[in-house]
Amino acid sequence: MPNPYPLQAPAIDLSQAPDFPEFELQRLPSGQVLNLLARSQNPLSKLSLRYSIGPEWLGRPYPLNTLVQLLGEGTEQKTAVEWNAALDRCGAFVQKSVNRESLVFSLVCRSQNLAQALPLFREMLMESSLNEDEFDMQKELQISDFMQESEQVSEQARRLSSNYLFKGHPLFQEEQLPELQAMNLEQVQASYQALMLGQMPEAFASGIEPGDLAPLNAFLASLPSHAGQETRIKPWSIPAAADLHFAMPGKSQQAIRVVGPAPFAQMQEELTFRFMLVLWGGYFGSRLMKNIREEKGYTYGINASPIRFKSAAYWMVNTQINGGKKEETLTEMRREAQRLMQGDVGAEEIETVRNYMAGSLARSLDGVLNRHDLLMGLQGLGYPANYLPMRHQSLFEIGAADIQAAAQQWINPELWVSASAG
Amino acid sequence: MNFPFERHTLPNGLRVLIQPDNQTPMVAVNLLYNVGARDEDPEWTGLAHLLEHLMFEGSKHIPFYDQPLQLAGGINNAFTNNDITNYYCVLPAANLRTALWLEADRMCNLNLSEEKVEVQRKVVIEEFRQRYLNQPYGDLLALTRELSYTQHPYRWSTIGKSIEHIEQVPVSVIRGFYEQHYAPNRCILVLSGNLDPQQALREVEYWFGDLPSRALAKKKPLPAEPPQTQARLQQVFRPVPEAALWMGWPMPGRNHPDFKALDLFSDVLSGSAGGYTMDELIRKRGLLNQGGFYVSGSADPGQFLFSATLREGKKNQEVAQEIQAFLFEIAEERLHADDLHRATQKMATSNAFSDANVQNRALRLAMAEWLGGAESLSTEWDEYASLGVADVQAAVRRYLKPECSSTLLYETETNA
Repeated sequence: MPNPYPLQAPAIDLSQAPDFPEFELQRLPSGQVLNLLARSQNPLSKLSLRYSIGPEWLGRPYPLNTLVQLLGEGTEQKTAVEWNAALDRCGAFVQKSVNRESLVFSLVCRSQNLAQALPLFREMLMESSLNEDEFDMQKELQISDFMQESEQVSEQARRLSSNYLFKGHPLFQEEQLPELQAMNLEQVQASYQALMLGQMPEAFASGIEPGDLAPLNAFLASLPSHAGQETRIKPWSIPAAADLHFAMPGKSQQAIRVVGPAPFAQMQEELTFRFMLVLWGGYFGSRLMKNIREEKGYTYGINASPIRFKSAAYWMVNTQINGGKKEETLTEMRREAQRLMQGDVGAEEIETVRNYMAGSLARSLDGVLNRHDLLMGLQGLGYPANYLPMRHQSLFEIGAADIQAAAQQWINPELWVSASAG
Repeated sequence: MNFPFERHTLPNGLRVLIQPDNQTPMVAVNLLYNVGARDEDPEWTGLAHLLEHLMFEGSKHIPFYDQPLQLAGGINNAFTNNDITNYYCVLPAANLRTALWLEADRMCNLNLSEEKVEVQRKVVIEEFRQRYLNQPYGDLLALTRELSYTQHPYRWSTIGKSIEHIEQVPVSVIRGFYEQHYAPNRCILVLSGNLDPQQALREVEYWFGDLPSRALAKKKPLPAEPPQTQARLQQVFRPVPEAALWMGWPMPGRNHPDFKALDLFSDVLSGSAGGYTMDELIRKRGLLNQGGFYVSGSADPGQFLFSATLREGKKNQEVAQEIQAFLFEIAEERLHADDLHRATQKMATSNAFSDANVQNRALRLAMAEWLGGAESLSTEWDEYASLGVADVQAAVRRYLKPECSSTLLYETETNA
């Protein structure tokens, strides 16, 4: 049938919740527990190991960043080139990440090469040489990065904000150049002994063929077998409101970072907060994007996002704006927050945000690697196994009054810490 | 690529590729338009990218592009480069129709009002400032293009030569550019995800089938870059913490038989922490803080590139000479079949990694189709794997000669 103009909008269908996957807990013959996701059409396997950063190493980012960089840069048996060449022959990658609470190393390769790549992965984790030359080079590169980043308005706004917000808290010691310059190899070796050789990591695997369980069992059995230390630290709370500025003459733009408190509680309260934050500034159609980018044209982009650790939660808004428009931008941000606090939100906007978030949840399940990362992240933050279906269901229960209450509690401009640079 | 696809061409010239995958809840809708910065008038550069922004500002029948897509649970974005402009949406598969409805209407019925143009001018100018003016090394890309190309429109960046072009381009010129380049017969549409191919094709025919095929003016031939016979050198001083070095050598476009050999060579040099760049230039010789070799990968003849920041105390021009010698030293004396094997093994994993989500898969299919046929994705890796040391050496000798190089010495102001 021909399609006459004007075109009619098609009906929307979000009635069907996606299938929410869960890790299957497999106890291997060695006694190790493996969180396992089923094989998919994609020929890749991914094995992730998560090491907890115990109390001794919290708030010491430089030795840990350097440790992460040095792993794979030479082992007791191979030089850095030899080890990397062997890994390349398997077509394998190692992804490394360090956040303030954990270190994560992931081996990614085609499933057919997993058994071949596992011994190399083990060598990196358990037999890294951490030698002086590699350490000196990594330290120099980190100092170089620090200096490069110092020229960026966004980085200076970030540092200014973090130095004020997290001063003295063990989780968030802010990086400073003198500490980086003073770092030595012994600190890195000590962190390796304590964190990598001294504790059993959590293991997560995806895209594993049944025949690969035996080499995985052998691999995991060769890692330390005692659990790491649970980190218990006092929860962080946001300090008094402030408006900070770092002058960088000659820059044509300013970076702004605004931070506020976020709920710790799981499930409904946190979901309502996230919903409100997305509506305010967390997607392309948000209030902040529409007002500050699409109507005023002050910026290329502005984004509000929730940040969540085990012992801290907050939100932040980041933007980079036309240098003369800082006050106007902050005024509009406050205005949009106040509108939400006054309950100025309609049913159509709520429906759009709800559907957008439902779609985002489904998108995070697209492909085995996305599923792997999502589930591992949720488990790391202590969310229950039924979090995803409950989150999906909760989206359909949030109304205008919930959004107004969340806005009043969490994005009141009187609570903001804003930092700018430029 | 392990995912089979179907190809159809509608009577109005729209090429459609459909690639089903029942393991995902999503569908990706990717539209690649055969227009990029190279199609711009040198007097109005940045136009293809500005138009990309305006494509999200609503069409004749749909005042807002984003809102209906978000209501359908979708996301969208786009990018422009010198060759193409690419748009994509990813949304729950049940709502595929919404994306097709939106894309069909903006393909031929974009609403280019003065008001919308004025706002997007401001947004793009802020993007220009954020990425290129207010950023250390931000002008490096523009400088290198002007140094590398004398005739071909690759000599300007996608963002444009200057803010003035974006500020001053008349709305009538923007409308003309849209009408000249946006039509079913200038587009490749790829659907990838949880869909039934027959049903999906019916939907495409319903939404796009009646769009008129425009009698588009044949694209004017672009000026070919004359062969480079003399090395070029430029030195600039900027307020940056470390000196940077950039070098480029002309090389063939994506479809030329020699492209893969040079692409593979760049992977051998810099595609791994065990590669020669890391081992020799960073670790052993201590010349660089970071950097490496790569190819521009453009459709028309492009560049084999090197870009790096230098270790403190290293002299830019001396390092440039060492880089030139290094290329031949590796190719002639040290390159081994195992180097090529390692690079192709990593490439196979990278491709599988890319194919793990519908959005990347749809883009890879669209790009390959635009370059000559998406079937190439199933044979591409074999072609790389069949290359030998002699193939790479021959390409290095042919293209990476010192007299063909362009070098930008990007110095710190303290060295001035």
